[in-house]
Amino acid sequence: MSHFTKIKTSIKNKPELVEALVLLGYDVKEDQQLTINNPNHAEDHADWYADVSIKNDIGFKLNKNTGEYELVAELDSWDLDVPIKRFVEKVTQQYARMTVHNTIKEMGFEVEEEWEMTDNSIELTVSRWT
Amino acid sequence: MPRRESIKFTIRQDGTVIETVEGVYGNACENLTRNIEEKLGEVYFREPTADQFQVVPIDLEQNVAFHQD
Repeated sequence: MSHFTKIKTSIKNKPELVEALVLLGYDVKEDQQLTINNPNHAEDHADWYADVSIKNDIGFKLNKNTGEYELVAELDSWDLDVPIKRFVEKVTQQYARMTVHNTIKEMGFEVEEEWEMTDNSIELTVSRWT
Repeated sequence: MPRRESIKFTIRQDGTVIETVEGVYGNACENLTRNIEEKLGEVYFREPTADQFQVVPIDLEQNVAFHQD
């Protein structure tokens, strides 16, 4: 073994974000104006836009200062079957998976094994001959 | 002789990625995974393992001739 690294994933690329959401079974739309359900919020969010959305009130928007995609959603009307924190984790995990898949292919690696473990982690082994 | 390079990724349920590289020697190892690490996010822990200090692979097979007078 040569090195062991831990990386905190941040969502920075739109194609892999879209792939992650599709993998999770959501109907993905791009560049949508979101709907405000709570009339009290209407004025604050007059321009409520998402680069990638899965519902008319849940999506992700690029924060141009950090270069990362952030969740935009109205907390009062959150109606997915998972809590917000878990939803973000699941999207981040699948995003990391697609980023690894796409990058290793460019580098000439092939996937040898891919397992979903009982602790919900994904184990992926890739290799190439040089 | 062809050599097998392999990378094992563990993607935790919160999206944290743990990466272990095998069969790559010396600095080539960090160069290999820099691309993936830059795309994923921020590296917050890195530990070299034994091969990091090995410059070339050790030849595990040797031919020995036995001469009997």
